[in-house]
Amino acid sequence: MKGGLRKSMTWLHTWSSLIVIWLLFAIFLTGTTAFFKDEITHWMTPEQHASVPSEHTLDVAVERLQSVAPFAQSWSINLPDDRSRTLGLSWLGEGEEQQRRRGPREELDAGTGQPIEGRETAGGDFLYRFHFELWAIPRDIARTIVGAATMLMFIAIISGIIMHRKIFADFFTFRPGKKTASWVDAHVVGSVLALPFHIMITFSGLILLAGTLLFWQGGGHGGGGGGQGGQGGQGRAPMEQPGGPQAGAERGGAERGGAERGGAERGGAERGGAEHGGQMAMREGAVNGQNPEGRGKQGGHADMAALNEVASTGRQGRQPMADGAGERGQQRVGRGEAAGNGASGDGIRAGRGARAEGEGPRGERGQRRQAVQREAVELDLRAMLAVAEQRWQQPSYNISISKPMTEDAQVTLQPAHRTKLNNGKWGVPSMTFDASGNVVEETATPEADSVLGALRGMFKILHEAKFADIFVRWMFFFSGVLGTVMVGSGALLWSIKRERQQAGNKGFELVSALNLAGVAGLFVALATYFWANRLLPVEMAERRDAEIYCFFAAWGLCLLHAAVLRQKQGWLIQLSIAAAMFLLLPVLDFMTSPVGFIGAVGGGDWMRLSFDLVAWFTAAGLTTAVLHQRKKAKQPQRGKRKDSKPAKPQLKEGQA
Amino acid sequence: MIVLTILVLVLGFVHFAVSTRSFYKVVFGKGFPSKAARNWLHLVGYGYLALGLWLCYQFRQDHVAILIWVGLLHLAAVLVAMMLTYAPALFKQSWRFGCLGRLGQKWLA
Repeated sequence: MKGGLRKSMTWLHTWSSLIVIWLLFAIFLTGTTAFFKDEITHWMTPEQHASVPSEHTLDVAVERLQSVAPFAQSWSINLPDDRSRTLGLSWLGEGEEQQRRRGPREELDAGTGQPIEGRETAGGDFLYRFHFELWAIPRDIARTIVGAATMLMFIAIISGIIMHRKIFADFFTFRPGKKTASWVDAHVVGSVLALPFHIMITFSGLILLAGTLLFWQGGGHGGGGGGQGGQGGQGRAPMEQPGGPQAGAERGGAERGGAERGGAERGGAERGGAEHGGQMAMREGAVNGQNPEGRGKQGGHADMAALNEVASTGRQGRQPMADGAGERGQQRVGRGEAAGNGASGDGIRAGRGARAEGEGPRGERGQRRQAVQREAVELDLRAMLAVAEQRWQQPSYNISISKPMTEDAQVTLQPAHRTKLNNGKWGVPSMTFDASGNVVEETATPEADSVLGALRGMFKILHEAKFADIFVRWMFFFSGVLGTVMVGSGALLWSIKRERQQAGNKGFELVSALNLAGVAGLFVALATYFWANRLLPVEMAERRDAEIYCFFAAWGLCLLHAAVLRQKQGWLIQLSIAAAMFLLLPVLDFMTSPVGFIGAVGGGDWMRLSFDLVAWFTAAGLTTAVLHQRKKAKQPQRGKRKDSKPAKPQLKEGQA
Repeated sequence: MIVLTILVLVLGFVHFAVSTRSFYKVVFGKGFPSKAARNWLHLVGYGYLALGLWLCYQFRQDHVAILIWVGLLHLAAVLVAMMLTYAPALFKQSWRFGCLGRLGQKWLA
């Protein structure tokens, strides 16, 4: 570290990033995919592909719940939205205590109402978790490793800015076909053009994992959840309803393969515990007309009166629909009527449908109640949804109904995601209606307790893009791709610059092998993960883990190949395999999904089609790299200098 | 609205690119920008970026507009870099037909 400031910064930039660069590449790549983890999970669950949301989806949900859980304490409906195409139902049976992820739940085709038996898959959740918890490493240790790597990344960014002498002059410069200069340009374009994003994502990641680096703090389990949500006892966002069979931790809560499917070892159960208490308390409080947080409550008389007026107008406007055939506009909910439906008990999934009325003691109770005909209660859910949408400027995602099918029913609505960065660490607003459709409570989004809490919440929301609509999410994804390019090109730049002087040197060869496996090998592993999802038998035991094993097996093979055969066109082989696998991924998709290409376009399944398009873009990028490698292979090889003493690299000031 | 914003931001970055020695030649063939020309081009370039921010605010009327603006800045910068590398003729055309920076003739070559 001798010499001027820039030279010191060059040294710091090079070595602070190099020692963790392969881990950083994996974190950036999987973290970038995690912006679309729900969409990835959708792609990886072909059984969901036939589900096409329609205007009747709400009716389908209510009819189903009337059928399978007429006497439930509460119902929860997760409606399809721009990141989900299925209908999620859950309910709390009569006399049962609320338990996270244990209650009956169903995932339904949003068009037909047929239950979906999705395959067991780790989905996008694995990639999301891997980017901050790695895999098969104790959670705290893994987060500490990722936290340390994030710190080094932040150091590399700051030192990279200082060391770059002509940061503005080189702002738009990219010179292809100039060997080392091209790699420098790629590194600079990837880093400088998206510098605000890189600083934001690294700094916010550091904040989220800060607890892991502050060893002297009490309590352990630092980091406050990385990408997870909250600290113990405070609960996650109310939008993480336990009744959400749909994948996606931040919205459904019922992650595929969570505690029920062996995810407990990976921390699913731990995460659930303390957080859930707060969450449920809040949800139940909201349903029962309380304000469990004691803050953020809105709803003065005038405000509530105005909302009720809107609700009333909505109901009047929709009355003709209710009078029409099939009661499509307005759900008529009555105990006697629904109990009759429930008695049929058809379509209830094994293991979850034990609530079928007419069986056992509960069934007897049900029959007794059936005899007591109550006055039918009408819930005009559409009018309530319209009021909430007008209020929040976004559609509702979750509908919770307490004491359904009684005149004491209360309906609580919540939107899918936060819309602002200052919404506090967690939480979305909610609005509770009585059975007549009057607003009885409106809860604003909880705010942070302190300035520090608000800042942390803002960084968390930013990092996880929880406020983001689909457009902003794509922008984050694009910036994440630039970050991945930045880290990948930085890794390659180190070895390219030293190839002439240090080829044959053990350290150089180690870095070269890790570069090959860490960059090209990771793409092969990622493609293998998606292929395994479609090719492993659907009924296979421990299928979720098998997909993950395939990912690491492919990565391990690439590492082995890089260690032994990297000199023999290692890059060409691994990049070609990855390119071919990504290129054929959409073909595999349409061959193994029950819905073909035309059906997907017709059904507007852009979540799936976007995945396929991104796979093709990835294949195009990898193919470009393959062509570059072929061109390089045709050029005369530079002689190795094994016998000579490795020369000390002479980096120019201001270069990476 | 988004496409228009991206276009405005791209034109803003075109001004910044023209203000550098290496890309000044792409447009004018020779020479380099004087200090006055650089200041003029930066001023107009910032104007375009500010207009882009205003358009983002029209699209999304809260603080997320700033975030969208920053995200679109990334995209626009990459587009300009790719244009300079692979389509310099398009870069010249965008300078000729979309950039108000041309009005500062007395400072430019």
